[in-house]
Amino acid sequence: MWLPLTGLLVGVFIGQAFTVPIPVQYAAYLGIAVLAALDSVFGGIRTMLKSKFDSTVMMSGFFVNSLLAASLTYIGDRMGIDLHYVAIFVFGVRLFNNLAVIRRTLMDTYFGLHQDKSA
Amino acid sequence: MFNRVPRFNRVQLSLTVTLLTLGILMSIQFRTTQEVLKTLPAQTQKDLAVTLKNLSEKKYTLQKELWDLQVKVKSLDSASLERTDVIESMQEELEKLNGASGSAALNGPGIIITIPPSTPIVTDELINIVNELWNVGAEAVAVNGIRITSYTPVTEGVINNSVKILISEQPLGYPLKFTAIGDPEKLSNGMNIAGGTLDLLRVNKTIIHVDAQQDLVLPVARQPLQFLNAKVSNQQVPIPAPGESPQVPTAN
Repeated sequence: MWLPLTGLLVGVFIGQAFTVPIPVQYAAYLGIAVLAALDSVFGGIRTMLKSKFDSTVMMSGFFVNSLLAASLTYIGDRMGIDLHYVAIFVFGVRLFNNLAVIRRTLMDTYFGLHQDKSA
Repeated sequence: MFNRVPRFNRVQLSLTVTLLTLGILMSIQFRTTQEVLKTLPAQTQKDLAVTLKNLSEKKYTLQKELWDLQVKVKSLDSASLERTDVIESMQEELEKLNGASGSAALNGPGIIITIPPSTPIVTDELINIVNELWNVGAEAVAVNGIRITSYTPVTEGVINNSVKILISEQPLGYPLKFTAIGDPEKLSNGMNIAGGTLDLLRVNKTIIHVDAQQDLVLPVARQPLQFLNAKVSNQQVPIPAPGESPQVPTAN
């Protein structure tokens, strides 16, 4: 598992080292994209722990969800519909849901304390 | 494309790529958010109020500084203008004094009085002519090219068994030429006045020519003026009225 973590660190380093100028008005869309990406990553970790991991699903989810979230929010803003909050709500709920499942699975695996019934 | 690599590696690879991208995205987002927070619309009212107050104070200080500097510029301007005026008037004064003391050559209109060798004059007569020239308004006088100033000695001496008039110890030859700068008309009228020095000399058969000239050049005096003992007095010395004996104050 070290390779993915190293990848994360290298990514952070690249992002810090190379200043990519994002116009202030697009910062919110990038935020939504990051939220969707985080959701995909945690979803991937969840399926991995459940041994149902499919890299194609995760990667497609990662990129497509991020792009869709950002572009839908953008289009929503152009049309006067605040999809921003909708995206935050949906991905936020899914993110915490994924985190909860991961936590329960880990507890189940290592301590056998909890019988997972939710997933 | 992932089918060729073993499953474990495929998982690792996809996770790595995903997390790498996530890292880049989060990092950029973090930086962008930091930038956004620095912009004015993202700041709270309190922060904005503080910023406004600071900027207002700074503006006030800078305006005050600007005002002070403008005042300074104005005062320096007027000071330099005054200084230029003073320098100019001092320059004029210096030129005048140089002319009067004989330190500077002078030119201008005036007259030339010529006395031929056939009718020589004596020292007293020469002094009388010079005095008469000053009296009728000559501004500068030279005799045979020797400037006469307030300290030019006019004496006589015996040279080669004949009595010669000496000006600044220079013997004068003939024809004797008096050169005077001043208003030519005023000078010639004054010099030719009946009963004047020239008139009296003419009575004694002396031949005298008076010619008005438009451009005369008088050289510098032979002896430069030096004040070794005399100093300019700061005391107010009244100019005595005509006929009154001058009261000379004694220096302390």
